Amino acid sequence: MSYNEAHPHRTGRWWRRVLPAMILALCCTTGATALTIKLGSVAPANTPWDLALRGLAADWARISDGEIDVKIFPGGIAGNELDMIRKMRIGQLQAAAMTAISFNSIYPGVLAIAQPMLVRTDDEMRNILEEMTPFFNERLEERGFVPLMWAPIGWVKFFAREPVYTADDLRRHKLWVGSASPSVLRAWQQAGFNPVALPVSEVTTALQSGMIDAVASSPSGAASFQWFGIVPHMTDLRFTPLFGAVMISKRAWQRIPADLRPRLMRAAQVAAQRVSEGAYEMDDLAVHVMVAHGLQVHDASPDLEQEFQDIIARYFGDLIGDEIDPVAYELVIEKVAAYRARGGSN
Amino acid sequence: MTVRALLAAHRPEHADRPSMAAHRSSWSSASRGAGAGAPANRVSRRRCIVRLLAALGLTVAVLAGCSLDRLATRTVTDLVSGEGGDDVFASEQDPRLVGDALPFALKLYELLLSRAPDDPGLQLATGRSFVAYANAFVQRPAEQMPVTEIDLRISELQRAKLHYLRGRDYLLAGLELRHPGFAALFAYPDGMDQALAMVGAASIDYLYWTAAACLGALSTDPFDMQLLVTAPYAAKMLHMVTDWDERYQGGAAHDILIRYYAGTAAALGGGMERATEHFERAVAASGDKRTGPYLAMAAVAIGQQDPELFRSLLGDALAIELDVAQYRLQNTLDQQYAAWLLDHMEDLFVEL
Repeated sequence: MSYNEAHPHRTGRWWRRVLPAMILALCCTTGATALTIKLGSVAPANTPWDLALRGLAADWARISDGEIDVKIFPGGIAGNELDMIRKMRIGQLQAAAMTAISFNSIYPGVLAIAQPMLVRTDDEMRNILEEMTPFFNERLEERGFVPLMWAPIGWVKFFAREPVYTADDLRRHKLWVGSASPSVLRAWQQAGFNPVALPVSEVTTALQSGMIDAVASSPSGAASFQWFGIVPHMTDLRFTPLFGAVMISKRAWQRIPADLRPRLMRAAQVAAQRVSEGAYEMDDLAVHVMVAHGLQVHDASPDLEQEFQDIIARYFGDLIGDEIDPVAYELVIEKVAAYRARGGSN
Repeated sequence: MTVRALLAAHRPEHADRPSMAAHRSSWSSASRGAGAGAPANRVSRRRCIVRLLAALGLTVAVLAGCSLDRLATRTVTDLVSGEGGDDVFASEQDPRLVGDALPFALKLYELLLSRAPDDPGLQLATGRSFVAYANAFVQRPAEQMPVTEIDLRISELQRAKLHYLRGRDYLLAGLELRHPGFAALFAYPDGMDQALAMVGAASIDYLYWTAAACLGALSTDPFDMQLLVTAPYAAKMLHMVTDWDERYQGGAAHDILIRYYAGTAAALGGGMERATEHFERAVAASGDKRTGPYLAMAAVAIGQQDPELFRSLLGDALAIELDVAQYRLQNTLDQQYAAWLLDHMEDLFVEL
């Protein structure tokens, strides 16, 4: 037997056997307990929404003593919202920030709040969203997603080539209504409008070609895409509220120690507040800038509001059941009525 | 043509680098400094910068304390804004030295401007220095901060925006001095095209740096609606620059256009095809001696979630030698950033 064989620990062979085990043990006590959460967002880097998400990541790192590492993937690099939902299902992403329209693809009840002309003011929106949160959370969790926060982020308004003072004024336009489903398009058509469904990426070209000459959009959307140069009349009617949320896969959420979860959830709700405030500020600034660049803003008269409420009540009712969970819708109606009965906005 | 194909097309040039480097080494005294005598030259360059700034500071302090001697102010102004005034910085290979010196230089420029506000060259020198400082020494470090430093990141991004806009305002003041009436037209959306029509090729520096300032500020705050709606005019300025001189600053205008078109919707004239076209033109204009095109295209590769392309582009950036004096500082900064990006790929690519 050679010296080396007789004394392996003196020649390094002892280390060769023990080192892998030591490395494994170190991994088990440090790296293996750290949890990486990949969070996708379509908000571009350095925007208020992106910075709010990064703030959330910092809060989670602090609360968990660095054991939870949230990596933000901004600007849609993790895909569009539906892509991100798919990636969460297969574990490529653990979390995502997205708008309510995409949530509706998981549970078709989230958009009950966003029915046109139902919720009327910012306060009402915040209140109803807060009251509906437990209901929505329960149904999304049943489907494998845990919402961490919800945030109202503004309103859809009409931007048109000519001023819109009445519903008939809008009927004379070709109106972009998002990537609307056949049922939604049918409702608009039955109400006498000329709706056009297109992906957002095609709207500018459609405006330039005359295929459409009115859009339903948030002010920041109209400014960002510079649509207002072609449709320079904004009717200040709060047609549909916009809201978004951040959700994490239930699988990832359950890997987080239970005692940390309430504190992480509270941190997410603080971030929601920042997101919401940033979004409203951005819309205000967008209107200010667009006005400086030629946008004309037209107040919505009470008659116009009533006209649209009648139209929605008469033609859009069929969407409940087809596209929206009627249970969620009835609950929203109840809560709106209760809020107004308590003296909320009217 | 895909970016990958473009990269493949450039491979033979990269393979020639050693011989190209040998050829470059005989070009100038500045390029000779990158060879074996680099440490000695670094010390010499540091002394040069320190002496220049000290002399300028002393002169201005004396001028500020006495009755204004316009001739002396003129002399100092010419020194910092004339030919070679910025080469002292651009050719430096120690970015920290420049980063430490620039704040003093910026305030010096402003002090000089308070004495000679009608000097367009000084407005240009001040404006571009603020833009360069905001980009290299405020925004980029901010974007490399760990997530736990979010408050500092936000405040540094706000500082970067402030300095970009400050630089832009000096540059616009310079344009107004060279083209009276420019500012009044440029202040209104309907007048921007008319304002730009007043500007000729002799003002190429002003347009390049104004565009860099506007788009730099926008990148720190992409939802700033005022900057957003004027971004197409910044792109137009860059196109004017490339129309006048395709090789201006080694094709630096193309670097900005790469990012601009990659981040702009197709319906607004953007898209990968245009970004790739400007990448190709940037590499050609630089003679493959600047890292800028590769860094700009690497940012696009993040958006495309193409880690292979990302690695390849940054590898090319890191392979560029630091022997061209006028690009040395930028190339050094870019290579440091490229190394950092390669170390942080798991933060940038979802599926690594």
